[in-house]
Formats: sequence, C-alpha cells, structure tokens
Amino acid sequence: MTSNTAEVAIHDLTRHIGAIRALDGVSLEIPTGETLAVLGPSGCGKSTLLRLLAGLDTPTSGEIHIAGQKVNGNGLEVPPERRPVNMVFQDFALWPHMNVKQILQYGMKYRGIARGRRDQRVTELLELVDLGGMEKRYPRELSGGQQQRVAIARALATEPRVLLFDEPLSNLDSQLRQQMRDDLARLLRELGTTALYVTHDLQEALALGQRVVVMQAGRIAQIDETRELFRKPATPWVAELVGYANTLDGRVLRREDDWALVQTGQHTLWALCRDHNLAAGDATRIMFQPRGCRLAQQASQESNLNTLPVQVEQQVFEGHGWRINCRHGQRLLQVHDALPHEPGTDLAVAFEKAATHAYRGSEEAASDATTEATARIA
Amino acid sequence: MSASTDTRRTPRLTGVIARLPKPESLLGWFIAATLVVLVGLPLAAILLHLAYPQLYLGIFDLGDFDLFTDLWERRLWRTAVQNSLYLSFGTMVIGTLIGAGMAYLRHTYRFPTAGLIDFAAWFVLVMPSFIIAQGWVLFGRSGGTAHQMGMPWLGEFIFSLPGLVMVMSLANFPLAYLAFSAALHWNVRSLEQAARLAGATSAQVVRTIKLPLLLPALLSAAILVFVDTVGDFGLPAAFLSVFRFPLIPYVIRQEIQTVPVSFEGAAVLASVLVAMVAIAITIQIRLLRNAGADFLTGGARPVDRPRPRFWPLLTGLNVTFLGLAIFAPLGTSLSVSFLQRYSAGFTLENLTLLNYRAVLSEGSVLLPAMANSFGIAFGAALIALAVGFLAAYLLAYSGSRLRRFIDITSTVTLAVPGIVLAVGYILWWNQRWLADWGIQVYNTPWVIVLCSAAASIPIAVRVVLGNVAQVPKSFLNSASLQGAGLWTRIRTVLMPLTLAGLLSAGLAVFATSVFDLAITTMLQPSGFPTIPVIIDEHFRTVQYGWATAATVIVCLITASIIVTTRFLVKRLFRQYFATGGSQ
Repeated sequence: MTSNTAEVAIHDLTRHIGAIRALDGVSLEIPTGETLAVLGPSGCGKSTLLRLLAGLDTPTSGEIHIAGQKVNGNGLEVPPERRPVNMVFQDFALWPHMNVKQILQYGMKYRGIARGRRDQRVTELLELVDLGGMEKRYPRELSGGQQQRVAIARALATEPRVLLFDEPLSNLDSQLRQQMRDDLARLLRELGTTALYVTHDLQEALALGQRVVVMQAGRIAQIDETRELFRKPATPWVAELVGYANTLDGRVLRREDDWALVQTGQHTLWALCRDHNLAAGDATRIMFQPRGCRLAQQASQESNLNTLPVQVEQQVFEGHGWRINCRHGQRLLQVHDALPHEPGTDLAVAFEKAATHAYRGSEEAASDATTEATARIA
Repeated sequence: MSASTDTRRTPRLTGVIARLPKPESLLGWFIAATLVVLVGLPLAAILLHLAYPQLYLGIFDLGDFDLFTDLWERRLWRTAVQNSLYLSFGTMVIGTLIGAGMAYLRHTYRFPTAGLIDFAAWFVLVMPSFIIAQGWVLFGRSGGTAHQMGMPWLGEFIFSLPGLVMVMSLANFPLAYLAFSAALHWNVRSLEQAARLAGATSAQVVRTIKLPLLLPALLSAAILVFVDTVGDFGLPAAFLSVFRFPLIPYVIRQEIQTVPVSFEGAAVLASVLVAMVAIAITIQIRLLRNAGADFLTGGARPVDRPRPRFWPLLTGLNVTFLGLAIFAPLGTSLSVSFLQRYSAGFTLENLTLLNYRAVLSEGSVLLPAMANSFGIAFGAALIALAVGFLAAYLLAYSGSRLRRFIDITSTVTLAVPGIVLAVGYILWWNQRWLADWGIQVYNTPWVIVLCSAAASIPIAVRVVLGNVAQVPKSFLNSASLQGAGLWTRIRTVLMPLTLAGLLSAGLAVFATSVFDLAITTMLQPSGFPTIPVIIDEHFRTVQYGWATAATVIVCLITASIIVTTRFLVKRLFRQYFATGGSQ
C-alpha cells in the first residue's frame, strides 16, 4: 500500500458535493522532503485535495495516510487540530486582534510546545522569514509580503510533518509575487519539509515543485517532474496548460517506436507519440509551442525540424519580443520571434520534431483537414 | 524539521477521539434542540390546540373546529379581524408613502436637518410602541396637548380609524423608510445613462428604469409595515381606555385573561394573526425573489445629492414632520410627567416633581418591577445571545445538515407577533402532564425569560451573523490547524473578532425585553410586577403622571445601563476594538 518513504499517501480519494465530483478517485504519494505542486484551473479539485489533507473537509471515500498514520476512512476522521500538518492560506488568515508574537505562539500553545521554548522559537522563526524585531506588530501594520512571511512562520511554528500551501502568492502584486516565489523556493529547500503547494500559476508550480500534479475535473491528468511535464505532456489538455498553444489535425501515416509520421493537409510532420494504440490511419492532433518555433524565408532543410508554410496575419509587440500570428490553411499558429514580420508576408515556420507531440484526435477534425487540403489542391 | 508534537499522543487515544461525533455536529443538534424548545414547541402547541382544544388538560379529543365559524358569528371577533385589517392596510399605504417619501427626499436632495430623519427613524423604531401610543393618547385626549394648542379637532381626529392609521403610520414609517433607503442608497447610474443614450427622456428613465427597479423594495417595505402593524399590541393596549377599537392582539389577551378563559379561542385568533402574517411574508418572499437584487454590481455608486433651490421648504416640512412623529407623542409624555394635573395644562403653577417622588418612593411598585424586568431582560439577553451566537456560527461556517432548520427556526419568530408567541408559551408550558412530571415553567418568571429570549433570537442571530459573516472562515481553519479545538477557536478567534456585534445584539435584546408589553402582560406570574405591565396598568387607570414619570425613569436607567455596558466592555477589551479586530 504505502511505501516506506512516503510522508503522505492518498488512496482513491473521492469527494462528491451533490452531483459534482470535486475529487474523483485520486491516488498519489509524496516522499519525505519533497515539494509537490498541484496545478490546475479553478474548479479542478486542487483546493479540495488540500482541504481533505488538512481535515477541513471530509472525503466521500478513500484513505489518507500522513507520516505513517491513517487519518481518515472507515468511520475515522482525525480533526485538523490533531493532524501533523499546517497550512499557509490564500488570504493569509492572520488574526487581526493578535500581534505577530501572539499569532506565532498560538499554535505552539495548543500543540503542546513548552512555554519556555515559545519565545525562543518565535525569534528563530522571525529570523528565518527575515522579520526579526516585528513581534509587536499587528497584521494591519505589515505589508502584503510581510503578512505572507508571518503566515509562513505561523505554519512552521507547530513543526508540522507536512506543509500545505493554498495559492499563498495570489494576493500579492506581480513584482512581489516573483520575489516571494524565489524566497519561498529557497526556504522550502533549506527546511526540507514535505510540502504540497496548490496553484493555478504554471510559473509558481515550476519554481516551487520538484514534481507537479496536473489536475483536471477532479482527476489527476499527469504527475511528473517539472521538466518531464514540459517535455512530455500526457494529454492535449495538459499540453495546452503548459503552453502548447499550436494545434493541427491530421492522420497517422506510419509509426516508428515513439514516433508518428502525420499527414496534415498537404504536409507531413514527425511527432512524438506515447499512445502506442495510435496506429496508421487514425485521426490525430499535433501540438507544439509558440516559443519553440522560428520563422524563416525558406523551408528548413535540417532533419530534426518540421517545417510548414505560413502567411503572417498579425504582429503583436509583447515587450520582450513579438508574437506573430500566422495562418496555415484554416489554422492560426502563434510564433514568438525576436523580430517583427509584416502582415501578408509568406514565410516558413520551423519547430523541433522532438518538441512536437501527437495525440489521438477526432475523426471529424481529421476529415476536415483532409477535405481542406484536397480543395486547395483542386 | 523536527517530528510533529502530535506524535506525543498515543495513537489509540487519537483514534478514539477521531471516531467520536464531531463537536460541530453535536453543537448543531444542541442548537436545533434548543430552538425546538424555545420556538418550535410553543408554535406547534397553537396548531395542536386548534385540533385538540382540551390538550392543555391532557385530553386528546379531536375538536369540531366550531370556533372558526365564530370568526364571523361572534361580533367582537369579527370586528377585531375587520379592524385589524383596516388598520393594517391603511397603515401599510400611509406609512409606506411617508417612509418611502422621506427616504426619497433624504437620498435625492441635500438640505439642513436631513440627517435628523435617520436619527428619528431609528429612535421611533426602538421606542416601544405602547409608549408612543400612550403619548398620542395624552396628546389627543380632552384637555391634552392638542386641545391646549388650540387644535381640538386634531385630538378628536386621533380617536378615529383614520387617526389611528395616522398614529400607526407615524410609529411604523421607519420600517418603510429604512427598507426603501437601502434600495435608494445605491444608484446604478450606468443603467440610467444607458437608457438616456438610447433616447429616453429623464421622465421616461424614471418610469421605465428607476421605478421598476425600486418597485420590489417599495412593496417589500409596505409588507414590513403591514406585518408590524397587524401584530402590534402596544396601540390597542394604550388606546383601550379612551377609544374602544377592538383589534386581534387585544382580543387574544381578553380570551386568556378574562373569565371564562378560552385557550382555544386565543389559539384560533392567534392562528388568524399568523395566517395574515404568513400571507404577507409569502408575498414579500416572492417579491424579493423576483427583485433582481443582483443588479447592484461594482458599477453601483453612492448617490451624489444636490441641494435644491427649494431647500428651505424641505427643511420646514422635515422639521414639522419630525415634530409630529417624535415630539407630539413623546414630548407630551415627558411634559405630563412633570404636571400635577394632566388637564390643567403646561403652566408654571402646574409643574411638579411629585410624580417622580411617587414613582421612586419607598413602597413604590416600580422598584420591584424594575428589579424583575431588568432580571428578565438580562436572562433573555444571555440566552438569546448564546443561542444567537452559536446559531450564527453554524449558519456561517458549518456544513451541518441542520443548517436549514436552524436558519428557518431562528428567523420565524421575527414574523410571529409577540402576543402569538406568548399564547404558544401558555398553551405549551401550561399543560397538565408537564406539571405532573415536575416541570413547572408556567406561572414563574422563567416563562417570560424564555419567551422573551425566543422572541429576541432572530434579532440576535441576524445582528451577530452580520458580524460573523465578515470573519473569513480561513481565520478559524488556521486556528484549527494550529491545534485549537472548536471551543478554543470560538473563544480565542471568533468571539474577539465579533465582540462589537455581540455587544450590540445583547444590548438590543436587553432593551426590547425590558419594555415587551405583549409577552409580559400575557405571561406575568401573579405577585410578580414588571415594568411594562405596571406602566400600562397605571395608564389605563388614568394615573398619567405616575405612568409617564415611570416611563421616563426606566428609559433613562435603561439608556444608562446600555451606555455604561458599552463603555466598560470597550474599555475592558480595548485591544479588540483598537486593532479593528471587532468589526
């Protein structure tokens, strides 16, 4: 069941709210010391997962083990105050009638940390989060970033086995968010505490998580290390979430191990395909990232690249470069380029075969692509 | 990181605790059971007595429902029902027009004394209706203020149906004023601007945009006035000695307090009153459901009010109105408390402090009555506050299956007139089998305490809920994850953050319970004087000087208790108020 090194083990966890399946048969393990990021859009079940771990909500079925102890299932429901976890809340949840010292000592008192140690521990925690000397401040006397640090220190104060983060950076402005993201990543590395970090921000998930769980409609769409998630998105939905914005429909011409040669319109492309059931003749969807593309006057002859002819339709300046919207047949493709390109220019877009992914597509879309190509030839 | 402190507990103990029912669930059952005892059983007793008229004797014989035919066969009952309907509909129309009109002027124009309308509305709203009604009786009686001011016609007018409608309208206009003000306070200007840009004139905008949006609020305000008027006990009690105009609440009292006692008669009339209120509330709910209140979006902004050219006229009208609504009744009561002879008028020779001396003298019934009433009010406030606070906690944060039940039961008495609730208490607590079991609540002060608490629970729940709802659930969740159990979370986080609301709710319940005539007059045990009842008795026996002096003294003492309590609580818990913790 549970591996010896897993600090958190979740088995077939389900939470139904009326007819809605907020969480649907989720299983995962978090090894001791790992930071696992949970990524997904609103309503995907990531916060529900966090609340169930914390004991703030009760699962419909399934089991949770924390630090080797079962905390729910078969009539057992360990309340939050008895679970070896603590959480950093999205709104920080700092009690406005207490000062920083009282806030940090609150949990120490109820979790049974000896009175003599509390003052020393407050000092240590405040030093850890760079807030030394702010014991007497009230939450309203702190900046957003300082409030966030106090929230983190409070979560650490009870010495939890597992730290939970519920989108704690979402209330900060973008500049502060980036700084806090880096600080938090450093802190989590230093502490080595097992952590679960829930976010809808891809950058946060990548910066903080050693592995990322992508959730969709209450289920796990993919669990992988951050780089693998980018290199091998398991489904078109995950691919789109991690930035594979360009899609083309077609049919598989032939398979070679993990590769598929795909006919899309009048062109053929090589793409990685992990679905071994996808065979020649099957409808498929090709996906690749705008950032991995480059535009050129001529089609590339390099063997590791796919090439498609396009016509520039729109150029949008985005500060660090240009987003070029190009038309390939009926499809609009995006390309990030350092230079602008005049609308109406005919160009070729090249992208790595190893960064192109093929998934099972819809018959209708594949037929449309074939019809469109035939019409163009005619 | 070091190992969790939680591991210090033995796994077996943790397992046992984890399998017990959740404290929140137990709390839900406890509050639900309390509400059943305080509200559910007494109201159910009224319905049961309609079917089983001899239930209070422990006899389960199905009645023949003959008494319902008496509603039109008994002259007194028929007249009371008709009068109640006439008075309530009349007040609903006039009171709503006055309240909505005042609200419109207040929120459309800027003029001197406009702010006084808010003060007056709240002042009249919190004043017990029987005290206002007594003031009007003194104002209109032969030899009263109206006569002395050379307006005897006004005095005569007050003791007629249109006059009563005026008196009730002036006493109940604040309900319409406050309800309509809430709708007018926000002006969705973009909707009006869109209509203007679509080609509508400003008159057409009023007709096609403003009025349709405000109509539900106007009708809802009217229903509120109707409900408050139909169940009011203060007016019939005060006017009875001068002007015979039977109304349902007072006839209910007669059924129970005059021989032969007719509990079933009281139950029938109470059910008629409840039916009227229920119909009105149903209409209101339907209106509000279709009101489209969600039109108040981020685009809504407080209205900018210009000062019109005719502001002196508005100021004059306002001062006259407020003079009539407040100073006519209450100024008269105050002046009468200083007069030797009521009919001799407000002259220097007629001024005296004898009324006050009589009220405060040794042996005066007011002193034990004050001790009793303040004790009852204190007990009612404690119970209502405890139930209200815990019910508000459950309503705001809990996922308990009992939430809906608690929500309905804790709100229902807001619409049930005090006299009806009191009848329910008599019918429930006066049952023989309870006495046989040794449960003796009826004919003790406890029955007043419980009934006053039950009547005040909706106020306590709503006031506290307003504050509790502002405390994010994450504040409690974070405390929970710090190791704090339910009671610790409530005590250390929720109570400090909602202290201001708790204080307001407690004091509001205290003040209303001190002066609740309907409940105390129905439930007062023999030999147990209470403030509203002795003031009412002295008034009915034409001892106006004594009654008004006692009213002034009790009002002053109550106000002093409220001010002192607020001061002390704020001083003792300064940090909660100073840090902005208490919202």
